[in-house]
Amino acid sequence: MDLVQGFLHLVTGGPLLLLLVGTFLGIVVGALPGLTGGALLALSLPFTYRMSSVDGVILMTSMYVGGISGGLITATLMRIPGEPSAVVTTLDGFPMARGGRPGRALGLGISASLIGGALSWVALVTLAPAMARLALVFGPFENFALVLMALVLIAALSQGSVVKGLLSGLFGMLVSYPGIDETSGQMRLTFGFEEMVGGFSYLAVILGAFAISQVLADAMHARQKFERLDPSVKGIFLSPKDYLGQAFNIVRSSVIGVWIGILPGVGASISSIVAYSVAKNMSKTPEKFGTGFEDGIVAAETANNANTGGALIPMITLGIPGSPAASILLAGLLMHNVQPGPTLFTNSPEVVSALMATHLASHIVMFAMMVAGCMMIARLMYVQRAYVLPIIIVLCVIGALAENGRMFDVWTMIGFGVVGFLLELAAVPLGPFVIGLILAPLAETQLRAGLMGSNGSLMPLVERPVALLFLLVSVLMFVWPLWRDFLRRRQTPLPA
Amino acid sequence: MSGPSVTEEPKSARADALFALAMMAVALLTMWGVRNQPRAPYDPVGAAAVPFWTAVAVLALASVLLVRVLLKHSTRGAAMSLFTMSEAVDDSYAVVPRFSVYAVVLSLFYVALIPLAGFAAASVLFMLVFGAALCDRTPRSLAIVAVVALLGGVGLDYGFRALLIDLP
Repeated sequence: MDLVQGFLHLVTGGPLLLLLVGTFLGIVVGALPGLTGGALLALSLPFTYRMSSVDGVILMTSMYVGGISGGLITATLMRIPGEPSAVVTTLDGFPMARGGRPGRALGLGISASLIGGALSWVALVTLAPAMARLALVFGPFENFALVLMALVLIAALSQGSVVKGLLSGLFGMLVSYPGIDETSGQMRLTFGFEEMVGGFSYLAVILGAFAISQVLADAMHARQKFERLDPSVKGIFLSPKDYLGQAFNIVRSSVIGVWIGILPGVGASISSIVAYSVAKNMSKTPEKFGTGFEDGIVAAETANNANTGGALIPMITLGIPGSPAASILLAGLLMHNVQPGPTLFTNSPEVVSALMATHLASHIVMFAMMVAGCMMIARLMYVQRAYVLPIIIVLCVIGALAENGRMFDVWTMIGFGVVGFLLELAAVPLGPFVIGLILAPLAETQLRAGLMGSNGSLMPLVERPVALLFLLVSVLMFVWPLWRDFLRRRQTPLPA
Repeated sequence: MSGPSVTEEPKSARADALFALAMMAVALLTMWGVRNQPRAPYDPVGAAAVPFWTAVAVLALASVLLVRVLLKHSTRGAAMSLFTMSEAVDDSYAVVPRFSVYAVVLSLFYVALIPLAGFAAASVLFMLVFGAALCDRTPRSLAIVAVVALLGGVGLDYGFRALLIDLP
């Protein structure tokens, strides 16, 4: 199925419904503070079981795009970012809305999201096949070094301490090891428990870490109430002149978003921060940023949607997710026995076409839905969390049971929900944990296959140029934040 | 751009220390778990090697984290600052940490109850109790919680059985 067929498939009954429902749910969850697009993706995993892999990809990709986009509604109108990636949008979106132009602020954000997403789609369809061809020549050592680099990159670039990020990733790897070892067929780390022979279910762990932990965190804020909104969204449609005036900002922020998206494991939040900072630094009027300035809204919203296309490139070509949310999408593909990587283009071309077509189509649907219904979506904030949170836990239980019907998986999910909640409280990023969990089997299989071919020697890791390059980047990305911290402490005088 | 406040520092240091100790415990458990793993003749490293060396890396990094806490070096990165600056502080409502504890305890009871009472009954009861604990306890809210619990519990049970998902 080529790209044209991918689009044609999308306009048939079932897939079109999945596209609309997925985008709508993504926008709603993205707009609501607390639950993130990642949690929605995790929650949707079990329900894609009965679907074909193509339909599953359509639902999840549209949720992914909707989730990234919806955050701007509440960020702009209430200064409450529904998604972490919309935090930067609050800096200028909220002052503009507060200053009497909520429609204009929303219009800028929604249009920038659409164009950023569309430009990243161009990058996706042009870069992905080329990258896949390049990756076909990678051997086991290159693949192992690539996974290592992905883990270090996400730890180094995610929010907070690089050491904690790396520990989170390695913890995810440890969680993936129990069960039957793929290479030797031996049981490993089962501690004598029969239930552990199959290992921890990915689905249960991801549901726990992303959805249950989020419910536990949200429960603390159950009594939060929101002020009523001004229903006027006058000025939500932009003129061609508006688009032309922002053209350079849009292209620059899109390039930043796509590029950061391609970096393994780095999410949309970093894209919007970097694009905003660059726009501010290059502006002739940097003092206007943070006061309701149009360039700020456009930079942030273009970049976070451009990140989605970028994040999908390494996911489908290398099997390395470009963001934590993309890692859940990757888990969904693995559940359908679709192995992302360079061979995906030849083994499952229909999945690639569906993903690419959905990425663009869901941006267009998102634009239409958000222009038409942003105030209605924002009003969902008034629904008490007390009504919603119990349902989410029940849905998670159903999700954990859907895979194997084992109560052990439900207990696993609750356990990892508590673990995820505690990790969040300790400011430990969860993104590296999920990426470590998903990539560990690939890293181990590749390393051991390589070692079998080299009679147990690790030398190919430094003798093969691409593997060496990945290793050097890993070392650099690990050492650099620590070195920077060391220098900063040396320069800061000790308190008296 | 402001960093974490002075009062936050001891709290985060304590959390970091606990995290490091927990990671050390997981690493040691992994090392102990793979200690007697046999090695296949064709496999140069065996099934124990990767978990073992991952655990070693965890031990090393957790030690680094612990040492940084003991030396009172901040473990918070510079990337935090923009988020800290831009987050809206909404003090119009009380954050209630005990609700998270309720969520954990009630979820555990719920999961334990499923094999005994069946999915539908356990779900209705769970949604009723958890919803009532979280809501603002006005008669209207309690009535909505009850309706949501009844319709949600029974509806989800029927809906997912129709989708051939085997619920207890």
